[in-house]
Amino acid sequence: MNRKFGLLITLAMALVLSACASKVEQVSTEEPTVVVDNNAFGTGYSAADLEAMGIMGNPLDYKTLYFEYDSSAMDQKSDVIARAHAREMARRGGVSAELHGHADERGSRGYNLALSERRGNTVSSAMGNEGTGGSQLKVVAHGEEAPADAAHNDAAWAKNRRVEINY
Amino acid sequence: MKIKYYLPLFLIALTQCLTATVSAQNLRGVVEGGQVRGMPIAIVPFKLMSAPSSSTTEMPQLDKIINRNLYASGKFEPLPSEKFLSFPSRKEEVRAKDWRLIDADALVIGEIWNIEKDLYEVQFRIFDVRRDVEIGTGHRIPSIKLSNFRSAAHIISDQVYKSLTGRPGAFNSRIAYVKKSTPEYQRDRFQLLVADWDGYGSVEVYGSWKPLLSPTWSPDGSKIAFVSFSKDGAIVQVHDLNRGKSEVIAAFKGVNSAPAWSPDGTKLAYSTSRHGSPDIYVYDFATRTHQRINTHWGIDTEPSWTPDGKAIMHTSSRSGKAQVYRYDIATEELVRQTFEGDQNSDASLDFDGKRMVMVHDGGEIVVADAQTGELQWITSSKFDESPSFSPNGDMVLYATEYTYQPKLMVSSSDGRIKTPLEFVSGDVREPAWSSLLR
Repeated sequence: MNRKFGLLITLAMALVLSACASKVEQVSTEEPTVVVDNNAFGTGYSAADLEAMGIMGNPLDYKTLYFEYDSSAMDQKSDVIARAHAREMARRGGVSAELHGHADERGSRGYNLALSERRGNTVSSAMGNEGTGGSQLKVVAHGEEAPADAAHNDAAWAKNRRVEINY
Repeated sequence: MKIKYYLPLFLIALTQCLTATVSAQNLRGVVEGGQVRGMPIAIVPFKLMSAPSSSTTEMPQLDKIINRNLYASGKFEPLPSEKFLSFPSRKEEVRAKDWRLIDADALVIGEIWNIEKDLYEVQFRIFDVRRDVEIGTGHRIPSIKLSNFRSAAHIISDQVYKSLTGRPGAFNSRIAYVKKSTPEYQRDRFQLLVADWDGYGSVEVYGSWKPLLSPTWSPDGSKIAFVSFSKDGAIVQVHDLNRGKSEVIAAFKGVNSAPAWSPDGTKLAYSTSRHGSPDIYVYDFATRTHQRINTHWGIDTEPSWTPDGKAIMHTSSRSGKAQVYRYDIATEELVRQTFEGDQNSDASLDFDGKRMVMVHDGGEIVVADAQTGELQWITSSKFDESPSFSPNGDMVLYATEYTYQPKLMVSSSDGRIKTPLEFVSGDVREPAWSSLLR
C-alpha cells in the first residue's frame, strides 16, 4: 500500500516538474514559431478575429443572424456565419435550406413583411455568392408575426430582427 | 317628373343652408380659453310610448349609444341626463330655457312606439336650443326589431351628426379586424372578423391557422381583400361577404401583400416580390391581369389609391428608410410625400384626399395635411399601427398595445378624443374601417 502510494507521489511530482520544465522552455525561446491559424474553421479569419466579431468557436454553431432597425444590411459577423453555412452546405452537397426572415413589431405589418423577406434575400445572396454547391436556398418571410421574444422593448426587438438559417 | 326631381334638391339645399348657419353659430361656443370643445348636446332618453304586453329582452338604451357615438367623434360633448331640468319627448314639451340653463346648444328628443309584437317605430327631433328652433322636421325609423336597436341608434346618431355639423356621420358603418387566439393544442388561430364601427356584433368571415394581415374593404362593402399565408408564404386573397367565398388573387413566388381597392372597385393594387424586390402591381378584376406599375430595388409596398383613382400612394424604402410616395398613374411621376421623421408607412387618404393617416417613426399614428405635409399627432406611442379613416374622415381607427394589452381604438381625427372599442377583446390587430356609408 505505502509503496504504491509513494510511487504515485513520485509520478505526480515528475509530471509537475516536467510541466514546469516545459513552461520554462517555452518562455526561454524568444519569439517561437507560434502557429496562428489565420483560417479558423475555414473562415479566412483567426479565432481571435472571430471572437472580436462575437463568434466564439465554430461559426456553424450560430444559426440566427441579427439586423439593425429597418435595415437588411448584414454586419461582418452575419456575413462570416452565412458564408460558413454556405460552405457547409456545399460540403454536404445538395442540401436545401430555408432562410426565415423576421422583423420587430415597430412599423406597419405590411412593410415589415417586405423587410423580413429582404433580410432573407440578403442572407440568401451572401450564401449564394459563397457557393452552396448546388444546394437550394428558400426565403420564407414572416414579417413581425413570429417574434422570438414577445416583450415590447429594445432587447426583445433586437432579438426579433433576424434571419434563421434552417437546413 | 321634374317637380319630383327638384323638390328633394330644394329641400336638401334648404337643410344644408340651415345646418351651415347652425354649426357656424355653435362653433363660436366650442373654443373656450384656447381649449377646443365639442358642441354641448343633450340627448333625452327616448320615451317608450307603448310597451309590448310581454317583453323579455331588455331594450337597448338608445340615448346611451347615441351619446357615446357623438362623443367619440370629438365634435360633440353630450351632457349627462342628471343635469336635465325636463325630459320632453315631443316638440310642444321643449322649453329652450331649460336647455340654455344647462349650457346645451343642441337637443335631441324621441319616442319609441311598439307597433306589433317585436316591431317598433322610433321617432325623433333635433333642436337648436340656443336659437329655439327645430332643425329640419321630425324623423322616424319605421318597423325596427328590438335586435336592431343598436343600428337604429347609429342611424339616429348619423342624422344628428349631419343636421348639426353638415357632414355625414359614420356610425352606421362597419369595421374589419384580425383576432389571434390559441384555443387548442397551443396552435394559433387567426380570425378575420367584421363588426359595427364600435366593435359590437363581431362575426368571423374567414379563419386560418396562419397569420392574417391587412384586411381592406371593397368600396361597396361587399368584399374584403386580405393577406394570408400559404405554405410558400404570403398571398393576397379576396373574400366575398355575400357569397362567403374566398378567391386567391396573387400567390406568386415571394411575398404578395398589402392589397388596396381602386375607388371604383374594379382593380386591386398590391405588392409582390415575384421579380425579386417588392414592387407595386395592379390587378384588374375584369381582365384578370396583373400590371407592374413600378420597379425599383427598394421595398415598395402598402399601396392606397387617391379618391380620384389617378394616383397610388405607397411606402418605399428607396431613400434608405420607409417613406410615403405618390405615384401618378398617367404621368408615371413619383413624388415623395413625407420628410419628417425616420420612418413613415402604411398611408391612406380620407374620402376627399385632403388628409393622409399613417404610421410615423415605427408606431405613432399621425395625420398629415396632403397639401402642406403638416403633421398632427394622433398618438405618440411606439406600438400603434394599421390606421384608417372613418368613411367621413372625422375619426381614425387604429391598433394599439396600451399597457401591453392589444386594443382597437378610435380617435377623433384631431387626436383629442380617444375611444377604446370595448366590445372587442383578445389579441386583436389590423383594423380597417369600411369606406362605405350606409
